[in-house]
Amino acid sequence: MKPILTKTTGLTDRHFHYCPGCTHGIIHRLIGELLEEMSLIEKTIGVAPVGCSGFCENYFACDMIGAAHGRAVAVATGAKRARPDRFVFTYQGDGDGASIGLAETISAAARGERITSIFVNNAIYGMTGGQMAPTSLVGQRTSTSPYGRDAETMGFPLDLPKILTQVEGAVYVASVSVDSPQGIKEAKKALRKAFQVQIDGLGYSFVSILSTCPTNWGVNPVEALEWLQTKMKPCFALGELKIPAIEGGSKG
Amino acid sequence: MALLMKGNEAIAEAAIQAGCRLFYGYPITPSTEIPEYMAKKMKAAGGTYLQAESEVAAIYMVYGAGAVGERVMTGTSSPGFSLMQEGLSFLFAAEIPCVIVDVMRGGPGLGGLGPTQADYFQLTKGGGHGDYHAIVLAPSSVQEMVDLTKESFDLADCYRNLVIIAVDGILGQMMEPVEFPPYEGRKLEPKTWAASGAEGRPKNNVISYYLTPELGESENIRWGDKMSKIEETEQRFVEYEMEDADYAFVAFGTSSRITETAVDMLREEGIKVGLYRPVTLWPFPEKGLTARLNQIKGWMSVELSAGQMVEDVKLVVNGKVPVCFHGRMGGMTPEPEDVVAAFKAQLLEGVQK
Amino acid sequence: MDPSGTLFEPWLEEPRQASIEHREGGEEMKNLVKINRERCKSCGLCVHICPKKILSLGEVANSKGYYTVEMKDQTQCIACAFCALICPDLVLEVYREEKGV
Repeated sequence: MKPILTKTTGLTDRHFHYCPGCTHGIIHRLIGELLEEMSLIEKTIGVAPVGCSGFCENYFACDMIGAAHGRAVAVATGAKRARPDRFVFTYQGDGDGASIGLAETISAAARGERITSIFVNNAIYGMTGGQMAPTSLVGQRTSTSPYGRDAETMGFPLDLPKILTQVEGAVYVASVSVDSPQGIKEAKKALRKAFQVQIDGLGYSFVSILSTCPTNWGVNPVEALEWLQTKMKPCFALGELKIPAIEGGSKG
Repeated sequence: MALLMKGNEAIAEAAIQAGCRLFYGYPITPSTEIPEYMAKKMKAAGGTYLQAESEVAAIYMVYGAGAVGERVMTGTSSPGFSLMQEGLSFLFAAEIPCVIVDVMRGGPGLGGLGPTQADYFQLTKGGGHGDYHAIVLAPSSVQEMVDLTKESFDLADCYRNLVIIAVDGILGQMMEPVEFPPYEGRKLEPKTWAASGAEGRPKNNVISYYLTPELGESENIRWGDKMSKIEETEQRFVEYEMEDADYAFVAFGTSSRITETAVDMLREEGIKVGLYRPVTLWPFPEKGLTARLNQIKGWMSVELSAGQMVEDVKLVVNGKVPVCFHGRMGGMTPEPEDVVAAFKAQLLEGVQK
Repeated sequence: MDPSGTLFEPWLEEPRQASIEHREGGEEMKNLVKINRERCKSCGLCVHICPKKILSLGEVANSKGYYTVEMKDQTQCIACAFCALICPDLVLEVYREEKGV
């Protein structure tokens, strides 16, 4: 029989602790598959965030460093400058990358750090129990916006990949969504390109992945996919927002 | 042959000679010469200088580089040092070796640019959260800054612990003749724990959390044992005129140099005083101090602060004899005459604090 | 084999400790879905996404208490692997019949 989709050596055998239906697991699998397919596992240093995926060092088969909240990109910078021959990626949620870690993310992009950031946007703070995130939608109820996010007092969601297209050192910026098999395949393509950008030493690569949080959104996993499709996707720029100039793409 | 070098630059040069090839920093007066020297010299030495976007980012770049097993340094001054406190706690828990320089300036707040020693509490009690300690070295001359910096990387690697070199703004800025003798390091274990890429070995995780209180306690006990070992073996101090002293000053860094002159002045008047100079602020060199307890009738801590180290002196002296304090704040430094006058007023004339 | 073509034990029996189960069958079996029951969290995404509607949440719990996914009719499987793509817990592995094998 021909294997179509089987276990990857890029992940360990540990069972994931994530909630039923949480899309972290899908994204982990894509990364694991790519690390295996691109023969990167032994050369990789991954940086784990603080958040639901703060335990992901147990799931990726490569060396991992656990960073403080928001600082994964700084830690990755330190690691990559120390070992430029290694493949270094960060895995962060929306708080880690776009709130407390916003300065580090944009600064690393500005410096064109040869690292790859994977940004998991589920419009909420999952691990701490469902508070508002910088990516939460206007009107979205969270535990710290119980009457719905009010733009007047709490502002608007941040579209981080869109911001990064304006930063010259960020040479590959993609925004994808894992709400469907098609979306998952596109996400893997984007991740592969982002990884290749680092391997080719072109600059900073960033992939934002729209994801679900059924538990804190208060819906079941299937409803969560639908909320992602109908409510979240319209709010964020999607696609390959910026590709390396040598590919013949525009600067963004 | 001796070179005339500024303290900050001497530290940077010593670090490069000790094999440090990574420096991540952010400018802040009066430590800026450290990143500037590194910016000039690191590339030629085959290393990397990177200016971080803030001290917060800098300390975590240090964390990342140290986690992959490389020698790494950062340098800052008091407000920047405050920003790094969470990072220090994380570096300790993840057991990442690194060297951090704190060139202390006037505080609190944005404060001033003058020299102080008022980060002592932060340095020795842990400005970050949790039970942890950095090894804190307190040189008092540019030569000592060179010697201790060279050794600091070995100390860090040997114990897998952060090491802080604490100087005040005067030491960072002053120029003195300095030599760079060849340094024979300690024998060190290879860093098999580092997350440097799992080539031909099982993967490593470098993390700083624990999921159960049981594990939390056992980890803290293990770290505490490490701290005890360091306390046992790494206390350092220098004594000046302590052999026959009846009274003693305790001072480090710049205040120790001023106090040395005060000791000479008092000795000329026939008063037998000495100076006990800690070289490690943590571990606090209590062994040497304890050895003098029966001999000394009164102690005076001289600091550029409102009085921080004096509390540690009091703890060791434990009520046996008076422990007094003289200091200046905000960047001011005492004259030796002021130290002499304070000593006479507080210790000799029987006025106890 | 019972009439529905499954190898599952009735729910009254103790759930198996071994986590991997798979379907094997007769001539009409072309493709194969392996199910790692112990990893399944009953999220239902694979059931929802399967275009042939041949997966369902069953009545046998794994050791964590989740009623795990079951294959209702392996013969209908087209090995599109949508189920394995959308599964967040690495429960499903998909194999396609090799032509001429």
